[in-house]
Amino acid sequence: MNQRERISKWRVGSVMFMLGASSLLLVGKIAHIQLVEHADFAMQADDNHWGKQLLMAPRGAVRDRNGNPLAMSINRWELSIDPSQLEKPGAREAAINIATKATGLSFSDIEKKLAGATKAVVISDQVDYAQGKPIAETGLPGVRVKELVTRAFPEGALASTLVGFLGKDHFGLTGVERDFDRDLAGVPGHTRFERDSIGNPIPLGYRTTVNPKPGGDIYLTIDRYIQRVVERQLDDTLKEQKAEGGTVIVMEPDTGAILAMASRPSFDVRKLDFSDPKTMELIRNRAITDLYEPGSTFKSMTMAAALNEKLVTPETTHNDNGPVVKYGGAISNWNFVHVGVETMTQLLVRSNNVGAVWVAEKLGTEKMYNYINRFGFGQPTNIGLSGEASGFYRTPKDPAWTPIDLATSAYGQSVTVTPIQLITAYAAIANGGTLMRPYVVDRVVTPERSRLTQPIAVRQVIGADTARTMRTMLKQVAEEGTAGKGTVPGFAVAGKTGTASIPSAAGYDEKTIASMVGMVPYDQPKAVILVKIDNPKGSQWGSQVAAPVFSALAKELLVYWRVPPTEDAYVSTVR
Amino acid sequence: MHISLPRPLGAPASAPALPKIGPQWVPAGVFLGALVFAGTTVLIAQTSMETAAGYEVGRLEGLKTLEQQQNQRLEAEVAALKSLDRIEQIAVDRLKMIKPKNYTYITVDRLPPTAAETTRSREEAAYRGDAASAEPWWERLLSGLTGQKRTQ
Repeated sequence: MNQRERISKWRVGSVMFMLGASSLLLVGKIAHIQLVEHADFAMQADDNHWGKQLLMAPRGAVRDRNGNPLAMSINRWELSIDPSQLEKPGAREAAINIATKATGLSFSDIEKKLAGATKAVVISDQVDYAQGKPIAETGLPGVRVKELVTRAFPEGALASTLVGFLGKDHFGLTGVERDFDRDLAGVPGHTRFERDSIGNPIPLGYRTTVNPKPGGDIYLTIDRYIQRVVERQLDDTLKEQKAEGGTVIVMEPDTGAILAMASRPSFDVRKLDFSDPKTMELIRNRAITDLYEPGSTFKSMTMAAALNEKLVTPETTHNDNGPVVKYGGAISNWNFVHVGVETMTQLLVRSNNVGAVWVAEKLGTEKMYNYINRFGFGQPTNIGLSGEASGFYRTPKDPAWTPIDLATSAYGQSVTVTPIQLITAYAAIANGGTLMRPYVVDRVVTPERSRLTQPIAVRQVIGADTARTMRTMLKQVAEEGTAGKGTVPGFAVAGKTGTASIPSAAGYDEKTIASMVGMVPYDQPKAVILVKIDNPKGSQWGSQVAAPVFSALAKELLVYWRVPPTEDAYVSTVR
Repeated sequence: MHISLPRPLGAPASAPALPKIGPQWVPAGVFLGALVFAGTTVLIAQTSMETAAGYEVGRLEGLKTLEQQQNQRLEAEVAALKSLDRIEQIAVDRLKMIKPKNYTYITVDRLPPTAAETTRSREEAAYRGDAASAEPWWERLLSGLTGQKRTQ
């Protein structure tokens, strides 16, 4: 073999080797694609060939206890035309004709919108569902529809902090819309269809649809009429008193159902502007999130505890002969008037701080804090809404506790509560001594099932006799005492006002919280009402600011419920 | 021209004769054929019916969705018409109603009419065009007591 032949053989061998190696690589790659990457490529091919359209589940409505919708969804379509896909002769006219029928716009108007456009142009986002559905199903080239869901609020901003609102992705962001999102949202469905090379559905191609499961309706315990009365009264008072804010809650004492819950400042869900940083301050439900010192409204708890322990009776007397100096601090009455000997009922009527301290000391640390705990303070009520605060009070177990805490907590200082906690505690006095768990959702109704909320009795806090005695004492407070402006002609009410200073870093400042908690009618209460006005400017006192609101609300409720007045309220008999 | 191919090794000299089917098997054959035909026809018919039913289900589901959406839209309209703001606006602007400042409680020594009675009598009166009778007794009573009409 000469050198030339050797070179030739070498060349052939090299070429053969290269061909063999590349073939091997090719086979290896094919094998890799077929065996290893098969699933990915199959999926890509599938995605190219099959289109999928998400079908949103109709979101359930949020309703009041009588079924009136407070928030509900309406489905519409957004119709757009893509001129780049309308190059065939007559296609543009056909698309515009379809849009004209669906939107009610004129041919020329749509032409104007499309003039010079190279990408899809939205023609209308208010296309009626019935008009848009056939377009969605036919899938005409160049004409696209997208399902939109609009949340409507037939009652406007009523109960907005409680109901809450949705984000752009249609998930609940606040309130009941968030906390019951799973019930309201339902399960989305989808349509899977064959599509052509440019992504349009093939009109007679294979198509499967998984229908969405509609969301359930949430029936609140709120009565829209009562809620409206409450909100209007609250707004009027805040305006009149130039107050910073306020909260009103109306509760059914026997069940714990919330009939109305309003807090200010608040928002109108139809005019939300998140570019304003102050907006975030408006969206919380202050009735359950905000803590405050309840002031004299807390004296009812101290008194109820002492009565229940049989340490005092309404006729028990104590001698209020001046400020009490306890553990380095002087405690005086709100008006700095000391009346000498007075009964326990008179103590409540006059809202006497010194007397309340005397009662608390009679109870002692252990029993006092035990009752505060049993009335539900320092723990969430588990109303079923997120963001609920627990409140706080110091006990001897806390290193920062001093004996003066016992004295001040007797008249509602050094204790922080939420409005919902306080009204729940008063509801226990109203219903015979049982602490009920408050709730705002009466039932959840889905197409498959209904889920009813059953009232839950948390614990018996005081005896029925004690509760009755307390109601009688509080009736006297309403008739003769600081809650005098909270009375309702023709009805006997029971209640207690409070004027609490707002604590600051330097102690207590000039600002006050004026409040009243009471029940109507006093003997068999149908409602417990809490009124809390933050920093009123007209008057700082609960008796002047909150009591008239309580009275006005109680009057409206009693008429609404057609509760008969007391015998002496009838002026004549018609035969 | 006849070409005879060589016989493969091991092959039989000629193919074995098939057993002859006697005329007694003809009815069975016909029956079998009919059975296959009928089965096929039933299968095709069933498939066809299934397909048609599938399309009909799809169509009805579409209609159902449409009706549900229509229902929802109408409910929203009803809710807007029944909203408290609107009712109050009509009461104040159109019916000239005002909010009472005080309530007066009176005892009426007579059982109230049932809802059915009230509705029937009002409907009858309205049908007769008798405006005075169309006004319920309690409204007339209140008008008499207060000296003014409840609505103007």
